[in-house]
Amino acid sequence: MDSVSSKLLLIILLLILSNTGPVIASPFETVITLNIHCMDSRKKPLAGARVRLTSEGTIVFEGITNMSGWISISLPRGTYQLVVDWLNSTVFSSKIKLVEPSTLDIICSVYYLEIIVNTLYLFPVTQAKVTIERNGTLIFFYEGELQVPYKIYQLSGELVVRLPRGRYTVSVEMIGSERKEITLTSDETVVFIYVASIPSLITLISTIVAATSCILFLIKGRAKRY
Amino acid sequence: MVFIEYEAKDTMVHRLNPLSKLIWFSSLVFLLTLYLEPQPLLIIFLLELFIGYLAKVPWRKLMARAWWAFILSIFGGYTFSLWVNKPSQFWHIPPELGCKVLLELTPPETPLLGYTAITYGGLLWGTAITLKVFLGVIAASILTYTIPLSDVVYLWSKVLPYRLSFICVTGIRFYPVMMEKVREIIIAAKSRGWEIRSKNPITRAKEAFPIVLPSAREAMLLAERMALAIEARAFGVKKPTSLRKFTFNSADVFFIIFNVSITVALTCMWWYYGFGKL
Repeated sequence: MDSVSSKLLLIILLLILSNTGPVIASPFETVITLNIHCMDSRKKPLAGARVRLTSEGTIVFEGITNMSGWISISLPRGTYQLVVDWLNSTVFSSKIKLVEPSTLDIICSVYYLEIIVNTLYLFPVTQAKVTIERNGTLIFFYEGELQVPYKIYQLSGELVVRLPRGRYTVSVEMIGSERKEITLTSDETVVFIYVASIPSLITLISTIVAATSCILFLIKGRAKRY
Repeated sequence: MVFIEYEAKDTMVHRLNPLSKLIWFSSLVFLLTLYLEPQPLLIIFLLELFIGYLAKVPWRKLMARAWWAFILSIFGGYTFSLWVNKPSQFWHIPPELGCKVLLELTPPETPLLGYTAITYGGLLWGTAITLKVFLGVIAASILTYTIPLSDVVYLWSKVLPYRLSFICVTGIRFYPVMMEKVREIIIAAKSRGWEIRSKNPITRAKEAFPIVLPSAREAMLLAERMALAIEARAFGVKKPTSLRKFTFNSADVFFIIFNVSITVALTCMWWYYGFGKL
């Protein structure tokens, strides 16, 4: 090999190795880089999603998205079946054609379930045990404090959970328990009203006592003393 | 300072035991000290309107006499709210919402003033402070409108030593008397051509001598007459007996339960849910 052609080869090699951008396209190879950004229904990154690419039934790539929901794949040109799994559910599936380096933003079927726990719709429950099951399998468990976010004239104990599309059984326990079946096909809110906590009970009882004593005061106060 | 004086009316609130009304007032003052956000203050406002309606408070008279206090509270509240713009000042409201600037007035490096801006959180705080003063004035006015001074004296004598209670009541009772005397002295002085013309505070103080001296003389004369009167009634020999006995009836009990339970409910909401926290 003469020195000119060996230098040219070295330059090409260096160019390939030094390319730090997201997309590598070598004119000499058929390997193409595809960057996939997995997002949920609110376009928030979906971390930890399993991304699979299959070609004629064979898995050609498998990987997990990073904290920002990104994954980088290098594969030869061709048509692939892209499948994204999250929490043991397929949240995205589509055929893709790899012809040139590209970035793919995908909105997965991952929705937000807002769980509101208010005793009799009025007073928020601040401590609760929340379990979410799908087909008898525990998907989510939380025991602790529920947030009462700042809202104008609305108080509610809230917990927001991200779940794949599907049918779930949501149970909330504290003083009393309640169970609800939900089919998640979009962002949804589910309200539990027959669960109480000590603060919500104290507040509720105080309010009932106040209302009752106010009525009794109005009745008894009419009577003249002197 | 009394905005509306006691009027002997036969309303549900007037008929209540003074202690019940004092408990209502105390619980209200306690709740007012808790809040820095206007939402629960609107509930308290409705409660005050309810009690005021039952007491048949002359609202027009109250507004005519206390308007300056309300204006002052609006001015003071919203002025100080310009400095409510730091994330550390917000406990319950998300700082990004509380610090949302509507209008920046002075940049952070401004000498003396520092950073001032009209923020969403600042407006909430300013409204809360204004409402607190407003509600405090209304509550105090309802109290003075429905409790005669003699009942206040009786209640004070239950908790304070009777001599101290007497001193406090004398001070309160003689305030309007002395104001009336001073007014008479000013009218008399003006009829003789007296007037304060200077804007210099020292000169003004000197010019006020024709009023101050007769006023002090009047005060001393009043005190002397008072001393003679109480001596003639053998004050200080033993604890005076009360002319009136107060009893609690069922309306009093329900009124107290109502106030205590409302206070407990609102305090729980403040403590556990952050209701009323900035």
